[in-house]
Amino acid sequence: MKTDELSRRSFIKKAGQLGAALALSKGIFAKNATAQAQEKPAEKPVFEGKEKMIVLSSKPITLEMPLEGFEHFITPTEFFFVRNNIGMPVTDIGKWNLMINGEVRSPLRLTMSDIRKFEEVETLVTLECYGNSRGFFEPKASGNQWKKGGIGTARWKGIRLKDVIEKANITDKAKHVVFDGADEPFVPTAPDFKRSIPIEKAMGPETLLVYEMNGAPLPVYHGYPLRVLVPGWGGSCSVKWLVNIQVAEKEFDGLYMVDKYRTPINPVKPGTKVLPKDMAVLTDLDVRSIIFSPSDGAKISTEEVLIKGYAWTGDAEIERVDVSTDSGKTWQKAKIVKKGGRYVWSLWEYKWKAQKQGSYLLMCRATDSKGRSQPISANWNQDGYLYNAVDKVWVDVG
Amino acid sequence: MLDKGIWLLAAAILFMPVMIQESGAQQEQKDLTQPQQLFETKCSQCHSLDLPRSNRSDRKGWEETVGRMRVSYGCKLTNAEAEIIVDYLTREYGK
Repeated sequence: MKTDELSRRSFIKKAGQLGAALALSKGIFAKNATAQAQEKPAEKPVFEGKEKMIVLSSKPITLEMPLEGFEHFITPTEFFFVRNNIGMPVTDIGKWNLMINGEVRSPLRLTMSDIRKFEEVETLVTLECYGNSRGFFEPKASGNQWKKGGIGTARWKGIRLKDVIEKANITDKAKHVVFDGADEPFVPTAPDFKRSIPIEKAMGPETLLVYEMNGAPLPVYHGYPLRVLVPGWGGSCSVKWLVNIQVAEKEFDGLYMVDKYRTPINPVKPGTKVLPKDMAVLTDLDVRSIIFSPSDGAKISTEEVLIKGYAWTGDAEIERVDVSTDSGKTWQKAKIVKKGGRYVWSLWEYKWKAQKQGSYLLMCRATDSKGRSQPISANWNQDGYLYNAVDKVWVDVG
Repeated sequence: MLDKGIWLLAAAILFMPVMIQESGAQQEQKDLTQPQQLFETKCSQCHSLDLPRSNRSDRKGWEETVGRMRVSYGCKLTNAEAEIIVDYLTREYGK
């Protein structure tokens, strides 16, 4: 990277830190402003605009959607999950711009005004953290212990990444695209958060650079002023606070590619530790469905109840969802009441009336257009990614 | 001159949380020979303590975790400090 680019990036990042420090001192992010600076184990901080979220971690900020958020097909921003890996910057839009460099014949430096000149796209996309539901793995996998709420669907507005890349005129060596945001580690010795995706996915018409979420400018939690949106792939690919797009010959080799966001190439027994060299970088999400109503442990009557849930998948579409109300002995097809289509979750329902009192295990299982279906037990991996086992919810009828 | 003033102000604001934190740390007089205080001080530089506290592991697992933090995540610890933290985590959050 050239010196002037380094200086520019450094300036943007420092400016972001300044903004974050200002915001922090004004209590914009955390009402308990000490949360980012010093640990107070007795008290969980509340993040402004995200008061209803489950705080998995206050530093870096990691917020899970509670089950009530699933009641909305389009997730309200206040319920949309947040997963940061390092510090959260605040960007001065007057100083912000986006660099496109690397294996390109015409490097670009774009302001937000330049970005807005590309053809605008508005679309619904479901975004899920690769680590969603890590908390269901047995034995426990290390990391934030997500339950079901590391997912959400929003209406995004932005431009196609491929339009920007085409304008920069890539060389024949272009095989990967590396994204870097203005976020910085909490200590200077820690690695920066950068991720890459293959050029084929970057050039897909679904892959966007977005500046609006649910009809408003991106909130800082979600990457203001610009983030990548890689539909069907885990949230970490959709780098926030974007400042640099580097077209590269090789997959990026930073920590968040070679150490994190990897799963074993071959399946392993639960509890088996695998070296990074025997793992591969995560790509698209696996097929999955969940039940959000009734909730686990709910007490319901013998009247008819509506079992409700969502189904979603990676680079494919949901074909069907099946439900079992008798611990998996029999399965019935659920009704898809709102089909999201490719890259958007589908809402399904199943009417059920228990014949007698007792405890029942409800289960759901989705199948996608690639013929993939959910396993009884998810593929265990030490970092707890891509949990997609058949969802199970116990209810008490009586 | 004005620019310089703005930058001095900006620098003061930028580092204010650090100064407050350091000042607080001095007031609390952290005793880094105490395992819990060493763990809280060092580990909370990069992440909230909910993360390790919500996990359980045996000694080998905590050694791997602390080793990973030192090698991959830039956590500056001496060997002696790392051992004290591993001892503490194994005792308090073992399985």
